[in-house]
Amino acid sequence: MSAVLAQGDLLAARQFGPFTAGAVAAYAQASGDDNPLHFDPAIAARAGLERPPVHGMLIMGCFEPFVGAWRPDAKIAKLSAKFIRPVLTGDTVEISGKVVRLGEDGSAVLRLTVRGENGRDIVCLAEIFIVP
Amino acid sequence: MSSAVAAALGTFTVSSTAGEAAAFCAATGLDCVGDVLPLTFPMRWLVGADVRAALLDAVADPDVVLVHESQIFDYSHRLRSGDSYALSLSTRRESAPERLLVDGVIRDASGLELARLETILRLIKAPA
Repeated sequence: MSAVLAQGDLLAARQFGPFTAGAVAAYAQASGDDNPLHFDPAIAARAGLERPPVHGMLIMGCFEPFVGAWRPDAKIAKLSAKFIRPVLTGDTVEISGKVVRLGEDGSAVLRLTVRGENGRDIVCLAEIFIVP
Repeated sequence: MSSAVAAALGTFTVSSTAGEAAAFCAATGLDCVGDVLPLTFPMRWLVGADVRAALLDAVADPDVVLVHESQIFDYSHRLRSGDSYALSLSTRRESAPERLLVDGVIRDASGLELARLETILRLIKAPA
């Protein structure tokens, strides 16, 4: 990669969204995931949600551009995400990151935190493994 | 928590066009680079009609709502639009709480392993 990494390096927080109904529909079309939970307020209400939730994979799909904006030449070999709370249609998320581990071979592990609309609740936690 | 022995779901032939990749990039705010597929693109194959039908058979309960709980993609090689791959899937069930774990391996035509994925779905009984 272009610059030497250090454990503890921070990836500047960046906003993604708002995930409008149109954005969710575009993702559904592109991904093929047309689960009505993501569009139908009545089904979302049955799940206890005030609005349809955004696809978790749409949030995970933001990780690649997020890391790419930090280090355009970063090679991601593995990414994992745990979806903790739903992100609702219309919401914005904030993604931030930190280098939590460095390998002697130049590999690194990034920990990403995704916070929801109010900036306080963590909605998703992720790890990204990058290789030299 | 209990976990059953993995059950093979099948091997599915998967591929993508440049247009499908471009639409996926646009929907996730990613700048497409050549024919390299976005890292999360294989989810598209998990919701294809044949794979989805096999997953619903594995769930075996039409009243259950599937909630995506976690996801892993582990690459040894990047995937490309225009290429055809073999996606082998197996499932495991857990109880307390009820989960379906889907493990996938993506190989090229020579049998070389390119990527692995793990999808964990929480199975929630929908209220009547």
